[in-house]
Amino acid sequence: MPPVDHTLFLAARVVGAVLFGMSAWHHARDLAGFRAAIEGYRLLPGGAFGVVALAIIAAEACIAVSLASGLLLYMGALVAVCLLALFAVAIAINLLRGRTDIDCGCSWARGGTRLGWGLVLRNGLIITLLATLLAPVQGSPGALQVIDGIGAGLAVLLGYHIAGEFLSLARRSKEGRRVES
Amino acid sequence: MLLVSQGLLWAVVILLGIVVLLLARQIGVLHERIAPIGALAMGGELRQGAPAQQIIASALSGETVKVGAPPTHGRAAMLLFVAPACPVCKTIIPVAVRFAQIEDVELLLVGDGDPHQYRKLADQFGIAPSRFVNSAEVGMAYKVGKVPYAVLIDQAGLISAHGLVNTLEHLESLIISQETGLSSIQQFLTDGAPQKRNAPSDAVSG
Repeated sequence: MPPVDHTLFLAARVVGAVLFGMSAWHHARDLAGFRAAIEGYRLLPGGAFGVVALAIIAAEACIAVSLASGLLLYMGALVAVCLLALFAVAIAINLLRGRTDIDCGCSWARGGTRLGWGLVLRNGLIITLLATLLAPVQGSPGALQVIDGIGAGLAVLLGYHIAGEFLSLARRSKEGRRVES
Repeated sequence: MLLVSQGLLWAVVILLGIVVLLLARQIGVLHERIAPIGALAMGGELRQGAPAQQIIASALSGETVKVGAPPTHGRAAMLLFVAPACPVCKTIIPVAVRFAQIEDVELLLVGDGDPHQYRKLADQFGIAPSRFVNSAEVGMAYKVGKVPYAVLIDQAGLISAHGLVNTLEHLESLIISQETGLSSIQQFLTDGAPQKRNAPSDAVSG
């Protein structure tokens, strides 16, 4: 794999650390809701939901710490990419089953987010960004690269939230208004 | 110097991002607040569920029409009170005609004034003269103070909904009101969202 620029590398670390950190925090706060969301996917045998929910939260917290601190960075990035890919596959299976009305368990919005191919695409984009952490970097970053990396990472996170707000707004608008032909 | 300016630049970008995020959330709040939009029921003289008064009147074609009778076909009859001098009426008439086709509603236009002007209005919008009544008595019986005003009558001859209608959403709110049995926006907000349809946005206000 060719080496990546420090700016991109740092931006990916910021995005991954904040996304997984907030995700772990939200899931831990509403453990029952997260457990119910996992159950809703109907991919696991009964009784395993609680254990899997706790394992996912622990993995998310470890990823966030790893990406933020740089400790076991390669391993953290690898687990993050695998976890996101696993979520994307779980969503895709349920979409193919036609079960779009379940909560994805991946949203911080009240009431959750219904399944859709957009979520698979979203996971794909985050995987692409985090995959850059699996590539090597040469030397140590300069001060400008550090500033650019952190700034770009925060900007991407903001863009991610803004897109989420507008998508949610569009969905509510569509639900609230019948389309006349 | 370059580092400081670059840092400031990112700070501005992030600040702008936060502003956009807050604005997006504010749009959501406004969206929630204005969501229940519906026809304004005036005066409260007409009551949902009360029998509609049946009045014999002459249509522009000269035929005798029983205004307020239950629909002969379709799921409801709609009386739309209009006037030639009212610009909003000219906007709502074609919308109401299309709406009546889509929603399977029997539309009857009611006016009160110079028959010549009403005939011109009917011609302008391609309304059959037999579906346009010119009678002062009907307007008085239904206590119509402002136009365009619509009254929806169900198959049992009862008033399902009524109100001042300026937009397609207002017309739709009459149907929503008929389907849900919620007569006013206050009732909608008190009793919760209607169950029969997926659109909780419309209810008759009054």
